[in-house]
Amino acid sequence: MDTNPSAAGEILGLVPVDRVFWTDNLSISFGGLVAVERVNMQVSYGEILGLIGPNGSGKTTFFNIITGLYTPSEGDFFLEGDSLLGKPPHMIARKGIARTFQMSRLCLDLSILDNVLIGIHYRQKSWLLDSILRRRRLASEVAGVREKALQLFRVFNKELVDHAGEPAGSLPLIDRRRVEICRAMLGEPKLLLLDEPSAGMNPEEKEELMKDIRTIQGASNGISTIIIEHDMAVIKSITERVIALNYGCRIAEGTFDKVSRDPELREAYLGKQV
Amino acid sequence: MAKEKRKSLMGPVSVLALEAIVYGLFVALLLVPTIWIIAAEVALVGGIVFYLWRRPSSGKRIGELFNAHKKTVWVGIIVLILTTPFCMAYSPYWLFIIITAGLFTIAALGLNLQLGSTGMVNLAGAAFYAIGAYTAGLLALNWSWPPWLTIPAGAVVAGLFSILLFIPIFKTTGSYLALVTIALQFMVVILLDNQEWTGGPQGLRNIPLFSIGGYSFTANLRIGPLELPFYANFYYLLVLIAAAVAIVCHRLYQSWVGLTLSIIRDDEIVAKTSGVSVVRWKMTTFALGNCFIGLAGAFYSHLVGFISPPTFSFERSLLLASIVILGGMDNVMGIIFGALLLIILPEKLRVISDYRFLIYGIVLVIMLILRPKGLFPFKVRDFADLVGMARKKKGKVPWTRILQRRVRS
Repeated sequence: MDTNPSAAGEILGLVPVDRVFWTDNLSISFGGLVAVERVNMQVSYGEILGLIGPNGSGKTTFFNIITGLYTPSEGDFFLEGDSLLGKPPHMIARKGIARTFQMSRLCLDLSILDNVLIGIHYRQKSWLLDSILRRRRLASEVAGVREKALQLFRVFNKELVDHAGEPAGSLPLIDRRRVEICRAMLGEPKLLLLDEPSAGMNPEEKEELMKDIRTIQGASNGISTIIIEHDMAVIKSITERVIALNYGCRIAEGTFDKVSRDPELREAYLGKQV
Repeated sequence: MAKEKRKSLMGPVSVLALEAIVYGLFVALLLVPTIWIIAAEVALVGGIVFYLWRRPSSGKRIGELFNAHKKTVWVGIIVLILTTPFCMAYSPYWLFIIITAGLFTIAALGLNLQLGSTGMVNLAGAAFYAIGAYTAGLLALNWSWPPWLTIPAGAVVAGLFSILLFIPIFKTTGSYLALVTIALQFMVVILLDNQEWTGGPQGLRNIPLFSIGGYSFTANLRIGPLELPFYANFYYLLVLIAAAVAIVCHRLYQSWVGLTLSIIRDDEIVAKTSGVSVVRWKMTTFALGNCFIGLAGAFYSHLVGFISPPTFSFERSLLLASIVILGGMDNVMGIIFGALLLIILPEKLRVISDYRFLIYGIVLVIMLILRPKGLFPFKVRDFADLVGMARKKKGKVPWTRILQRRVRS
């Protein structure tokens, strides 16, 4: 059995070589439980990669590793050739990996605008002394960044522009997801991680969300994206390539049509055929 | 024409009148010597609040009036603050209490940076107050540093200490952090109690009171024919410092710093994955907040001239924390009101000494039931002011450019 299928794929010319992000035998175990086991994968520039698998198959754990929240017990991962192993989460974010969360994580008491502006935190130049003494410099910086955030709102939902000063808690679920995606996008990341963006949405909202994701792709000249999704319709419509995990192992890779016929994946989702 | 003019005057006049009424109530609360004034004022204010609650439109109109005449509002507030020593000319005791409230405002603003803005529960406020006070006292007594130097020194030393003490606390959050800071609080007080160079339980005595350039603050302040108690000197200096600290805190709140701290308080994971170095910011606010607390402590030692360990007991830390929680987390205005209330109320209740803390406690409980988020809760940050400033700037020619033009021509 081939332990490194992606390397094999590269030799066969199946996977593009201009990759922005890749992992090398990435593993993590919590005590005796191996949550992610030697996963090799790569994302090329401008690609939308789907990550699927049944509950508990290690998809979110995988995101937590590559955003630095967990330290892998084995393996390494790279962004544009630089190893990110052992870097703290904020350094990884600064390198250009931004994410959204499965359970929407907005600070509900803060304004919508505040929630988005934090996304560009590390690019700001006016800190302690500037905000006390040089208000003008801070003002022009705030005005610039605010304009940028409002532009993102316009792409998603024009209503957000008018309500930017209101608390994020007043938003419906779909707009909360959008705000979260705006937050991740504002810092112009190189890799965008979307963790089940359509969870808890009805079909129309999912439809809108897919449109949104395509819009981002258009607006950002094709940002590289990994998307975790349970809704196969979403996966089918927006991803070019899919990787399936089960019990932390990669069990299938390829186009959605190919992966969806994979017997091992069917077994993982539906159980063994009797 | 005349009618319009009268109408345009109406706004500012009614703003000033409202301010004068509120201020009058405040002064009456202090100076009327019976305890019943509290009941009367509570009934009056309660009635007004009830009225505004039932008829929100009139409350809204008052709010609009104050927003429309911001400059007048501030002129009124400044004038009233400056006249306070004149109202208290014959009761220096209350002037002293107000000064104490001012000191606690500064310290609580410092604590607010940690507890209110960043969500770090620091219950060692009194310890850093002590560090500031002892630094100032020791420098003045042993090396006879002048007070205008020892006070900043107290702030700096408190800040440096907190960087050192940050090492054991930066990995703890929430209740664990609270426990660690309680331990810190007790360690500092026990050390002060047992060291010889800090004077032990006797503390430091005969610390020179504040003076600057030969002008001693212990002389009565003469303004024309009027003679104000010497506390008026301290009062004006303190107002100056407190205003500076309040402006700094407000500006920090209304900036990237405030935004970053809010996100850390509400969701550390989001902060981290957005590129915020949580540890660095926590250390910054811990140090800066304790700087302000130390500043207040240093001022205290030059105000009273005598400091000893019991002054800095755990109760004081709790008082500081209650000011922040009751006044309003992350709201500068709220902190100021909270400090005035929590310092003045127990003094006013001193007459009925037996039930003092009972009533004080009941008032606190009632207020927290009525306003669980504090008197002035956290307000959603609005960058509109700053954006407006940036727009204005575009129209203005910067002064450097004007200079260049002059040089050229």
